Amino acid sequence: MVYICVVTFISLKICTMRNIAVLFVIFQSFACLSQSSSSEIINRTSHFIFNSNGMVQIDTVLMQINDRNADTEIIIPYSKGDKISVDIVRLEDQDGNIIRKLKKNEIKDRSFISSISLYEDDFVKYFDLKHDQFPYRIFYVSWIHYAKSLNIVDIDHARTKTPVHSGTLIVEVPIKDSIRYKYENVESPKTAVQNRFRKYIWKYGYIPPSSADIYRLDKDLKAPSIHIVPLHFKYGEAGSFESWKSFGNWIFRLNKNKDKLPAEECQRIDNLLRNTHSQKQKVEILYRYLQDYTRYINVSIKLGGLQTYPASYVCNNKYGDCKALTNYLQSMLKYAGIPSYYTLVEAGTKISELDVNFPSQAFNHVILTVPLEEDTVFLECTDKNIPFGYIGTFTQGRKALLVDENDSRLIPIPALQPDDVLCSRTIEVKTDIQQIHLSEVQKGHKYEFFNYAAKELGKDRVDDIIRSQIFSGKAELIDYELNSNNRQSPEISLTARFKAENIYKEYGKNIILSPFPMDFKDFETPDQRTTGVQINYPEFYQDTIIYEIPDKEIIKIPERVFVETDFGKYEIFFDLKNHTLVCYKTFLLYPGKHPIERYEEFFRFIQTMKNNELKNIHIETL
Amino acid sequence: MMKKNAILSLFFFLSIMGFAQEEKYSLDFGRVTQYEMVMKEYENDPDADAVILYNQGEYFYSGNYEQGGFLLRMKKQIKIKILKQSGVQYANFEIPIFNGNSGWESIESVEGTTYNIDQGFTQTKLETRNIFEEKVDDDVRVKKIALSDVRPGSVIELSYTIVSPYFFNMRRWYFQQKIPVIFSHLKYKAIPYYEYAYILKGTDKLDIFTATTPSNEIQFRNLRYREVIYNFGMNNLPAFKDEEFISSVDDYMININFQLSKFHHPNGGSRDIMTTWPAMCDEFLKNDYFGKYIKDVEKQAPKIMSGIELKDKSAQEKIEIITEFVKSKYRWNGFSGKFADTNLKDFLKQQSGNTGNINLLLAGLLKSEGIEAYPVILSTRGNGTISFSHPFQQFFNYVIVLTETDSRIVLLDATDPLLYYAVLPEKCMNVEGLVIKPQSEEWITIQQKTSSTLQKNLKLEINPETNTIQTEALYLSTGPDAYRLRSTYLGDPDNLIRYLKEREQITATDMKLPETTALNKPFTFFFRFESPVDNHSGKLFIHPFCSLSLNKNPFRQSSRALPVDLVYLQGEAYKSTVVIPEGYKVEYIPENESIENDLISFSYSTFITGDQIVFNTQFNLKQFIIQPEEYGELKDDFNKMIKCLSDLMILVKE
Repeated sequence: MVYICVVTFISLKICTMRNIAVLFVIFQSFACLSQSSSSEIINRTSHFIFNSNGMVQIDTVLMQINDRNADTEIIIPYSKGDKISVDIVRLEDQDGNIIRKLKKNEIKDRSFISSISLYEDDFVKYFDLKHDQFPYRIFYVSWIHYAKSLNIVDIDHARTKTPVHSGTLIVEVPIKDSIRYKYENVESPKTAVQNRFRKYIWKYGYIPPSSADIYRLDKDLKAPSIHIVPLHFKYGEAGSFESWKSFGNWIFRLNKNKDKLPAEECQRIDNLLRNTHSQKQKVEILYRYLQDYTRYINVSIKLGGLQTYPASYVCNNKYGDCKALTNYLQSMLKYAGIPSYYTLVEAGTKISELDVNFPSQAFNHVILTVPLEEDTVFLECTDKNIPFGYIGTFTQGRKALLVDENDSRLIPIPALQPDDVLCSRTIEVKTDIQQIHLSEVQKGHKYEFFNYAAKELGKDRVDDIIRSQIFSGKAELIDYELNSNNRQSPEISLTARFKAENIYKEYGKNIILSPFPMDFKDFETPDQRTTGVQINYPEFYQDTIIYEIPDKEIIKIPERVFVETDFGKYEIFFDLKNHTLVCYKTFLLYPGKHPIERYEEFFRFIQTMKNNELKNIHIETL
Repeated sequence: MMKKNAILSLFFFLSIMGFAQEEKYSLDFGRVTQYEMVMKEYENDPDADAVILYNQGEYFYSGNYEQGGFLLRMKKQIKIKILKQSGVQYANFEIPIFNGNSGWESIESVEGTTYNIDQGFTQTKLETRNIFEEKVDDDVRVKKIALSDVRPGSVIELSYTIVSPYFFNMRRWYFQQKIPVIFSHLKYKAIPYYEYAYILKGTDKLDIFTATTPSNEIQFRNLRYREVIYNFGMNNLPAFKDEEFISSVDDYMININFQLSKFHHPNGGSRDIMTTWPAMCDEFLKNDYFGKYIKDVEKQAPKIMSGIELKDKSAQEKIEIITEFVKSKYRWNGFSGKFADTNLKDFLKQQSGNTGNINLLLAGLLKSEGIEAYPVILSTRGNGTISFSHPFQQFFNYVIVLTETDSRIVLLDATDPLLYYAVLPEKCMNVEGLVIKPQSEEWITIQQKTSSTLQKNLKLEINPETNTIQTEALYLSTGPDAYRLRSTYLGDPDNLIRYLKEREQITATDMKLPETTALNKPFTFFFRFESPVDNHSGKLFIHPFCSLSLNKNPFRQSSRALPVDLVYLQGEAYKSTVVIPEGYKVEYIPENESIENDLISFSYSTFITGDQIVFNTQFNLKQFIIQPEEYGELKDDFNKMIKCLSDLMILVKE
C-alpha cells in the first residue's frame, strides 16, 4: 500500500484549494441516490482578493434542501494561522423569508485530519440547519484570510455531486502581479480594472450525473473547472510558476539543507555499503534499509504540506511521510555519492492527465528517481513491502516533476505492461471428493492489495478477506497459504483448499459444472452511462480449470469462444484429457481512453466476457 | 561481519542491563529482559502480531490544592512486544479526554520508550513535541502518539496518567485485547469518600483479586483517611477475536467497569449514586432533561401540535398520528441518548436532536392527549447488556416510549421515518428496558414480533427460438427486510434497479411500485428481466428461480466461539411458475425436499398443472440466537438448502 498525502497537499493548496475542498466534502456527503438531487446550490459567489499580504476569500452561498435525505452539515476548512469567520447563516423558505438565524455558538469547530495522517493542523468550522418543510434554503457568508497561499483558485466540479445553478467566481489581483489561468466548460471571464486591481469574473453552472460511472472518462462530464495561479508567490520561500523549471527550483529551495545525517547514521551507511561497488546494489541496499527501519507516519504542520522534515527527523523517529522518507533516502544516497531526484507526482489508481502547459502544484505525492547507468529506478519510499524499483498502479504511466536545482523537468513514469499485471489461477476440481484446490499467482493491483493485507493487516484480517472474497459462500475454505517472496518480485501466490458440494451435477447423460468466473467489475448498461471509459492500466487474467470426472466417457464439450477488439481480448476453450476436462481462459483489457460514442461496443465486449464467465459448463457423456 | 556485530552488541547489552537469566518477562517500567528482546513469537499464539507483556493501571485520588476536593488520577503503563509488521500499528496510541462542567481532563507524565537490539541495544524516548492533540468536538479531544523507531522485534513502553475531575468517568479496564495479554493488572486505591461498584464482563472470575488496608494515614488539608487498595488481575489471556453476528464486544471481551455508587461527605452523611431502580426512576422524573422536559412538552403541546386534528380519534389512532407527526417534523441527529441533549426551546427551533429530544417529546405529546405513556430507557445492542444488580443510569444510552391503551402495549421510537410507527429500530431489539414510572421497577423485554421475510414470486416464459427467458418478478418483503428495501428505494425506482444489478446481476425493466405503501404493509415491487437459456442439443436447462434464490452461505467461519445473534427471526420464500413452451415436455424436475429441525424449516416442492410447472420453496430460521455448538449444523443446513435450490429442470422437444 502506497501512502499518499492527498489531504496534506490540499492543505498546501491552501487558499486556492479551499473553495473546492469545501465543495468536495459537502458534496461527497450528499451521496444520496435519488435522481433529483436532495440538495442543490442555487447561488454561489466566491470572491478572492489576492495581494502581497496573502489572500481573502469571501463565499456567499444559497443552497436549497429538497428532502430529508440531504446531508445538511456544511463544513468550511481552514488551517492554523488563517483567520476565519462565518458571518451570516440563516434558514429561509423558498420565497426568501427568514425562518431562523444561526447563533454564533451554533457554529462549531473541529480538527480536520485525513485518515492517513496522525496529525495535521487543519480544522473545519461546521454547522447544520434542519427544517421540516421542504424545500428550504440555507444562506451563509463565510470569510477566510489565508496566512499563506500558493495557488489562487482550483475549482473542478468533476468530483462534485450537487448541482450548481449559478456559480460566480470573482478574482481580484493587483495589476502589478501577473497571474496565469485556464478554464474549461465555463464562459470566458469578464475583466475590469479598478483601484490598481484587475478583476476577473467567471460564471458557471453544472448539473452532475446522478451516479458516478465506473472507470469514467472525466472529460465527458463537461464539468466546469477554473485554475488560477500567481506567476510569483511567497510560500516559505519566494517562487514562481513561470515554468516547471522555476516551480521545481522553488521546491528545491524549500527543501534545501534538509539532508544532514547524524554521524552515527553516516557510519551505519558506510558499514552497509562496505564491499559493495555497484551503484545499483548500493541504492538497493539503502532502499532495503529504509524499508526495514522506517514506517509511514504523517504529521503535517505549518508548511508541512510541501516542505519536508529534515533527514535527521527520520533518523531519530524512524518514521515520516512521503516527503520525509524520500528526502531521507535521497540524503543517504547523496552521502554515498549517488545522485537522485525528489520527484513530485499526482498519485492514485486513476491517472489525471497533467497539463504540461500549465505549471502548478498539481501533485500529492513524492517518489525518488535514481538515474543509473543501466536504467533509471523509481523508488516508492512509503511502502515497506514492495520490491526495489516497483512502480505500482498508484504512480505508473503518468508524468511527474523531477526536481533538480536548475534543471527541473517533467519526466514519464513507465506504465505497467500486461505481463506486470497478469493474475493466473489453476483450479483443480476434484468432483469425487468434492474439493477444490486453488493455486493463484497475483500481480498488479491484486498483488498490491494482498501483499499489503498479508504484511500490514495481520492473520485474522487476511483469513477474513480470503473467506469473503474467494469463492465466497459457494465453497468453504479448508486451509490456505499465502506466499510473497520477500520483496524479490512483485507477485504473491496463494494456494488454498476448499470444500464444495455444488460444483458437479449429473442429469442422465448431461453433466453440468459450475464455472469459476474471473472477478471483474460490472459496468453500467449503455442507456445508464454518461461518460466514456478510462482504463488506467492493463488487466490480464488467465485461468486453467481442471475438472476431474472419473468413470465417465465424455463425448461432447463446449465450443471455443474468442473475441478480439480494440479494448482487449477474451478466450475460453476446453480440452479433454482422459477423464479430465480442462478449461482455459484468458482475458486481457488494454489501457486507454474510449469516448462515450464507443461505450456500447466496449460494453458488448465486457458483456461477452461476463456472460461466458457466468455460464454453466455442459458436457455430455456416453 | 554483520552477524559478529550483532552478537557483540547483544553481549554488551546483556552486561549493561544485568538480566536475571531465569526471568522471562519483567513487570518493572523501564526494564526489558533478554527474553523479551529476542523472542520471535509468542508461544501461546504463534500468529500474534504483537503481545502485551504487561498492562498495569493504578487509579488513585490526589488532593486538589488549587480548587479543593479530589482529582481522580488514572495511571497506565503498558509494554508491548512487536512481533510482526502488522503489529507495528500497536505503537500508535489514541487517548481520548473529555470536557465538562469542571473543565478539561488532562494527561500528564507521558513517557514512552522503544527498545531495539538489531543495531545494538538502543532505547528511543518519546519526545513531547511528537505528542499531538486532535479536537474531535467541543467536548472530546484525542491525544495522539506514534512511538519512534518501531519495527518487528521492538519492545515498546508507554506510561501516562489521565487526571480527571469527573469521578463518574473512571475508565473501564480491558484485561483482554485484540492481541494476547500476558499480564494485566489494575490497582485501585479507594478512599473513604467515594464508593464504586465494579462490574465484570466476559468472565466471572479474576486471577487476582485482593483488598488490603495499609496502616499509614494520608492527610489532605483537614482530612485524614486511609486508603483501601484493591488489586484486580488476569494472566495469559488469548487475543479477543471479533466475530460476525454479535451484539457488543464489551459483553464478551474481558473487562471491568467502575461505577461511582456512593459519595460519603467528610463531615458525615452520604449520597447514594447507585441506589435502587425505583429511586433511579424518580431521579429521571426529576431531571431537567428527562421528566421536566416531558412536563414542558405537555404544557406546550397545543402549540407544538397546532393544526393536527385529533378530535374524535381513538387512543390508538392518536398514538399513530402523533408518532408520525414527530417523525415527519423532527429529525434525529444521529446521536443516541436517554436525556434530551438540548432544552426544549432550542430543540423546537432546531428541529433536530438526539433520541432523548425526540422520544421524550413524543412521550410528552402523547401524555398531553391523555394517553398513558412512559419513557423506557435501555442499552442498545452495541452498548452492552444491563446488569440487573447494578442500578446505574450510565449503562443506559437510549430512550423509547411505551404506551398502554386498553391493556394493549405499544413501544414507540420516532427517530426513523422509514419504520412503521409501532416498529423499533434494530439496535433496540432483544434488550431489556426499564419503564420509568414513579417509585417503580418494571422491566420489559423488547422484541420484534414480526419476522423478516422476503418472498420472490416469478413467472418464467421461455422462448426456445431466441434462447431467452422473459421473467416477471414480484418481490414482497416484511419486517426488517422491508425496511432494508425501503431504505434502498427512497422514492426512486432506479435505486432498486441498481440494487438488483449489484446484488442479483440482473437488468430489471418495467419497475413498478404501488403508489403508496403503508409502512405496516409488505413492501412490494414488480419488474421484468431477461435471461439466457442454456440450450444444449435441443435440451433446455433452466434454473426455476432464475438464480434469484439463496445461493451463498452467509455462515463462513470454520469454527465459532460466540453465539450467532441474528436479532430477529428470518426467512425467504420463492415461488416460480414456469410455462412450458409449445412442443416441449418435461424431462426432469427436482424432487420434493424438506429439512425440519430445531434450527430451520425448509421445504421444496413442485407440481405440474397443464402447461405449467409450479415450484414452491421456503425456509425459515426458528431461532435468532444460535449457540456456538449449533453453528456447524446451521452451516450444514444452509449448504444442503443451497444445494437443493441450485438444482435445474430440463425440458426437451416432444
